[in-house]
Amino acid sequence: MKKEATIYIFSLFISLLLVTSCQLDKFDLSDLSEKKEIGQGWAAPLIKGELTTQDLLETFDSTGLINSDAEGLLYMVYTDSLYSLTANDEVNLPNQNYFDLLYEVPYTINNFTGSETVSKDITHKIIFDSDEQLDSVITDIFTLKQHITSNIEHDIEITITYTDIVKNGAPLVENTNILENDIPYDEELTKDLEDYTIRTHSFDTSDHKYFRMHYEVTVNGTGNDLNKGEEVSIETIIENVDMQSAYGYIGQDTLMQQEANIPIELFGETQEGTVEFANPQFKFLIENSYGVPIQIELKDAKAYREGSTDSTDIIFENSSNIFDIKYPEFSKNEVGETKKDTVNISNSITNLSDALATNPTHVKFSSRGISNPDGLTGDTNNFVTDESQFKIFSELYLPLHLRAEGLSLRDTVDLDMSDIIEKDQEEIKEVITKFKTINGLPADVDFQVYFLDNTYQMIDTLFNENNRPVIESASTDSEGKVTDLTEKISEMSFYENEINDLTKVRNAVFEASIKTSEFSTDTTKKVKFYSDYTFNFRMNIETKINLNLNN
Amino acid sequence: MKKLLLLNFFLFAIALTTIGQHSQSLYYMERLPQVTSMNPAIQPVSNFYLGFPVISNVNLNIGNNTLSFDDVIFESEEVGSKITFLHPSYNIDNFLNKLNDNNDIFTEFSTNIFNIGFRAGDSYFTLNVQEKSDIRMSYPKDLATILLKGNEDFKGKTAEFGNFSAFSSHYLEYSLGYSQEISDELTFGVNVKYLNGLGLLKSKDFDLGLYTSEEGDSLSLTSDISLQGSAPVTVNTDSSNYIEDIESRDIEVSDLTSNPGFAFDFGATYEVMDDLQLSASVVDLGFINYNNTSAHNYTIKGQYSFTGVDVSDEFGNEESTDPMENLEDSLKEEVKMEYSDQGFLHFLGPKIYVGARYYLHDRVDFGLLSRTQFYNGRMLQSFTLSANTRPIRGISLTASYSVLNNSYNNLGLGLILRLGPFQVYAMSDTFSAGLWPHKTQSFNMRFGLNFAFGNNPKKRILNNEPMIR
Repeated sequence: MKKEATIYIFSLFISLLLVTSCQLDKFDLSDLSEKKEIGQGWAAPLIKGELTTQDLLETFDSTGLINSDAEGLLYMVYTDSLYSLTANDEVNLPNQNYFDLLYEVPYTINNFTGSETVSKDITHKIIFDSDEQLDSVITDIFTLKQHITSNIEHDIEITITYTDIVKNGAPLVENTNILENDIPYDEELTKDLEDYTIRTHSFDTSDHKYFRMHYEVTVNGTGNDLNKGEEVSIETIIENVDMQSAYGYIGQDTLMQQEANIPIELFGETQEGTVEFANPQFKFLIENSYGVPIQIELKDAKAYREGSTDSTDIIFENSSNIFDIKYPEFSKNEVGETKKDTVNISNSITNLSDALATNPTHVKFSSRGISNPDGLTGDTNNFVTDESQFKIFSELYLPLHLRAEGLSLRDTVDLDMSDIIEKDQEEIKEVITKFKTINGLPADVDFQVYFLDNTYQMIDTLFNENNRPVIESASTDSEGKVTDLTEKISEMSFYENEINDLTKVRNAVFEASIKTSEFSTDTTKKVKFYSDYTFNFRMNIETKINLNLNN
Repeated sequence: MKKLLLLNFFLFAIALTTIGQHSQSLYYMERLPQVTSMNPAIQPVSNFYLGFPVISNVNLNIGNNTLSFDDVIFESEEVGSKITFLHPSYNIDNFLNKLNDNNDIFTEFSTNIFNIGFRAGDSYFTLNVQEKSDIRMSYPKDLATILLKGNEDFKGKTAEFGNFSAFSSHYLEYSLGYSQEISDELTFGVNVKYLNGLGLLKSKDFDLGLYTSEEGDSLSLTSDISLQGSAPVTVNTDSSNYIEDIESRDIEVSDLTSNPGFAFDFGATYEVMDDLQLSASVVDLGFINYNNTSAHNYTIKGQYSFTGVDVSDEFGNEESTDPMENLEDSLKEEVKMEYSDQGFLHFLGPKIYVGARYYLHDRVDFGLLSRTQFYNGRMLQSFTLSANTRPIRGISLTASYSVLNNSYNNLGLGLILRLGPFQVYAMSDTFSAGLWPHKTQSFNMRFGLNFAFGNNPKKRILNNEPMIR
C-alpha cells in the first residue's frame, strides 16, 4: 500500500511534467491576425447656450445699437453724425488797417524852440467779412502794429489811447518818443497782446461798427526851423486775432452743409424678404453750443440698397424738413453752455415704413445748418466761443414691433475643423447630432450652418438643404407678445465620407432666417421682441468611432 | 516581436490578477524552512538552515480572477487563424460577458535577503529578512465596457467604477520567529516582524460613477476618491489643489527607515490523533506607518454635470470668455480636491490559513488547506487539496489541486531535492498552466536553494529518546 501510493503520486508528478511540455504550443502565435480595433459609441453633450434677442441681433449686426425701452421692448438704432464748423473757423474779427495823419505843420517857424501839442479823436469803420456786427471780441492774443513816419526835425512825443482795446477795464495806451537825430523817422512797432477785449462802437446814426482811438502829439523845438507841410503819421494794423469768444450779431451764414448716410446692416442679407415696422422713427439728437439761432434744413432724403440704382424718396409733410434747434441764450446767461435737443420728425414723414419695407441698406439725406435764419430782425444777441459747435446725430430708431419674413441674419466665423477631427488616429464612422431648441421668440427661425473651405467654397451644410428644420415661433397673443414657448429636436447624420470632407473646413457661416408669428395667416399681425425673450439650444452628439489599434 | 510582447502582456496581466498568495503547496512541505512564513508553528525538519540572498527563495505569483489566455487569443473559424478579442470580426459583447462585476489583476514578488533558523530542543528559532512587492488592481466591468464600447450602452444608467482599486506596495520585512512544542500534540509559533515601507500607492476609497442621460444630453460624474501613497516625490498643486506637477527628489538613506511598521504571524498545529493533524495560522497582522516625509494623501470629491460647453458668450457683442476655461473652472468648483502630506497607517491584508493533514503512512500524507485573505474590504477564499510523498530519501514530492480566485482548474506540483547540505526546491499550484495554458487564469511559482542540516527526522527522534527506558 505504502509503495503503491508512492509510485502513484510519483507517476502523476512525472505525467504532469510530460503533458505540460506538450501544451506549450498553445502559445504559438505565428498565425495571429494583426487586425485590432475598438468600435466605440459615444453619446455626449456638445454645446449649449441661451441667447436673448439682443445677443442674436448683435451677433449678426455689430453696427447697430440695440437697447430696450422702459417696458423692455427692444429697439435698434442706426446712426450717422453730422458736425458743424467750429466758431473759431467760422467767426472772427478780420485784420483791420487804419491810416491817420497825426500832425501836419501849418506854417513855417524858423529856429523853433517852443513846444506845440495837438490831440485828436479818430474813429474807423470796422470791416467784417460778411454781414456780422460783433459787439466785442475777447481775444486770447492778437498782433498790434504801429507804423509811424515823421520828417519834423524836432523831438516828438506821441501818446495813442486805443479806446476800444481794453484789459481789466482800462484802454490800451501806447507812447512813442522820436528824437531829432532819428529824423527822417520810419519805424514799425509790433506787439503781441494777450487777453485783451476788442470792442466795437455803435453810433445811433449808423448800422456799422466803429473802432475808436485818441492821439496826443507834442513837438518840442530843438532850434531847427519848423517847416510848413512837415508831418507825423501812423498806420495802425490789428491782425491775427485769436478769438476766445465773440458777442454781437455773427451774421447769417451756413455753418454746416453735409450729406448723411445711415447704414442699416439689418437688411444687409435681406434682399427678398419682407419687413414691416409698426413704428419706425427718424430722430435727430442735437448738441449745440453756438449762442445763435440755427435752422436745419434736410433735403434729398432717400432709402436705397447698396449696389442698386433704385431708391425710394423719403417724403416730408409741408415744411417738416426744416426745423430750428435750441441754443444757449445770452439773455438767459447761458454763455458756455451746450443745449441738447431731440427732434423727432417721424410723424412728418409720410412714407418711412414703406421706404424701410424696401429693405434698404442705407438712408441718406443732405443737411444744411444756417445761423440767424431771420437775419437782423431776430435775436441778434449772439455769442460764440472758440469751441462753439453743433452736432447732429441722425438716428433711425427701429422698435422691434414688426412683421417680417425672410429677414436673414448672417455671420461668418473662423472654424478649423482639422483641429477637431483628427484624421488617421480615429476613424469616425457616423455622427448623429441632436439639436434641441426651446424657442421663446415670436418668430419662426430657419437655421443653417454652411461649412466652407479656405477659399470660401461650400463643403457641406449642417442641415440637409432641402430639409432645413424650421423652429416654430413661440405662441403669441393679440398684441404680439409671447405666451408659450415651443420646443423642437432636429437630428442630423454625418457619415464617414462626409466627416472626412469636414476636415477641410476652415470657415462657417451661420445663417438664420426669421418669419414672425402668424405672418402667413394674419397680414396685420405684428409681434414685439422684448429683452427677456430667449432662444435656448443644446446640441449633443452620438458618434460611432473605430479606433484602429494596429499601429 | 509584437506577438511576443502580447504574450508578455498577457502573462503580466495574469501576474497582476490573482490576489497575491504564496504557493499553497508549500504549507505541507515542512522540509522547507520557508514554510514558517505560512504558519510559524510549523517547525522545519532541518535542525539548522541558512538562506542565501535571492537564490534561497524566489516567489512569483501572477494572475487574474476572470480571464484566461483563451479569452484573449483564440481560434476564429471565420478568419481562419488566431485572433484577439479586439479583432473587428469578433463580437466584443462576448468578451465583456466573461468579465465579473469586479475583476482582479495582481502580481506578487518576494525574495530572500537573509534567513537563518535552528532548533533548540522543542523550540525552533528563525530570522528572516525579505523584500516584498505586491501590485494589485481591481477593475469593474463597467470600466472595461466604457473603454471598449463607449457609453452608448449606459444611456439612462450609471457606469459604476466604484469597485476600481489599485494597490502597489514595496517593503522590507525583518522577521524573528519562534516555535514551541507545547506538548506532543500541540505546537505554537509566532513571527514578530519589523517592516520598512519603501513605497506605496493605494486607492483607499474609490467611488466613481458616470451617468449618461437617456437623451445623451447630460453626463454626470460623481466621485468620492481617496488615494494614499508614499514615494520620494514633491507634489505641487494649484490654488484648487489640482496637481500641477510631480517632482522627484533624491532618495536619502533615511527614506529606507522612515516608514516603520510591525506585524505578527501566529499559528498552531494540533495532533488530533496519530494520523490526523489540524493547523491554523494568521499571517501579516500588522501595519506600516508611512510618515509625512514621504506620505501623500489625495481626495477627489464632488459631483459634476456636463450638459455641454456653454457658448452663449460667443454670441452678441459682449466680450467672450474661453468656454473651455469656464468649463474647467466650473469643474474645479464642483469637484473638490484636497491634498495633504500627512502620514498614515497602512494595514497589511491579513491571511488566515486553516489546514488538516492525514498521514497515510510516514511517506505519504494528504492535506487540505483553506486560505482566507482580506483585501480592500473583500474576503478572498481559496482551497488546496494536496498529496505529499517522500518516495526515496532526499526527494519530496507534492501534487495538488487548488481552487484559486474562482478558478477550478489548477493542478500543482512541488519537488524538493536534497543534495548533501543543499536543498533545491521548486513548486507551483498552477502547474496545470502547461496542461491547459489557454484556460489558465493565474500562475504561481516558488523556487530556491537552502543550506540545511539535520534533515533526518528518525535521527532526531532517536536523539530525543530517553537514555533509560
